[in-house]
Amino acid sequence: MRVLVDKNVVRRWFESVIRTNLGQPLTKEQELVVSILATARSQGVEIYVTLETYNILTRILRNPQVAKAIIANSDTLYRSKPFRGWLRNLREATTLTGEDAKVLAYATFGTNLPGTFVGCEKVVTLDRGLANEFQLKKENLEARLHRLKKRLPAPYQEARLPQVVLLESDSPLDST
Amino acid sequence: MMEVWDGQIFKAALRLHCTAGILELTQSQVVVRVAPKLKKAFEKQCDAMGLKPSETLRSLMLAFTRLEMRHQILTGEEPLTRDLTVSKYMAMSERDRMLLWDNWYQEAETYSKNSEVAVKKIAGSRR
Repeated sequence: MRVLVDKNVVRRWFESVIRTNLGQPLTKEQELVVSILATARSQGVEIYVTLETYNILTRILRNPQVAKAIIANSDTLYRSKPFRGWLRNLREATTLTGEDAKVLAYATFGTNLPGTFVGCEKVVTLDRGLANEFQLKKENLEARLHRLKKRLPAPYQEARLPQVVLLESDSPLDST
Repeated sequence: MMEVWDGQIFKAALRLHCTAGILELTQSQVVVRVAPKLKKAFEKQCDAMGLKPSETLRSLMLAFTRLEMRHQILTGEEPLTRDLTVSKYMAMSERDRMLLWDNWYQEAETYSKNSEVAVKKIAGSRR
């Protein structure tokens, strides 16, 4: 199973690496993120970050030690050809921010560098707005994706809408 | 680094799930007693991610017992970006850190343009 974690989840992950290595206790949110990623990894779930997040870790942050902890435990999603068209659809059909729409576009039409798959099964986020808007517009998005896929060549017809999993600090996982 | 991270995340995960629980160690077995509410929460989390709770807990325990004490790898004075140290970053408020990551994201977007990958053949079944 492939899971895409959004930027804010990666931020908590990143901060938990720092806190752990400074000997500081983790916040509830950081523990939640770390625990769910650890359990996922322990059972062979592949964790992905977007190319933008990967670029933050590799080109903006100057501390390779901390970034390496995340890079070594995740893979990067790149944009496949239908990414732009699907992103336009997401922007038209929802009130999602540009960044949130991109997360969903990656989860639907992202791929690895050799291009051996299309999309992820789940998106893990701490963003209630993203989860709610996705749930609200899911049917419309399904219909739009169906129409888009009719015009695409074979490998891209494998694309599916992901499941959006909302991590919350007060309660266990809630999926929409 | 990999070993430190692996050990630390498992330790943190175990601490979360066993808070208010009891850890009993004997020579042949490890018994974890957890409050029913925590057990239920753990199982629900695992379920949402398609993981098996019993196997997950076992994996966590095995990793935990393999954990060795290691020296800390950060002092806080290391640079995080061009003009920010690790300590300064961690001293920022939650909101400021969020805004900083938003700025980093915008900068990172410029590196991500024109990076399209063609999917030629999908390896195996997708789901």
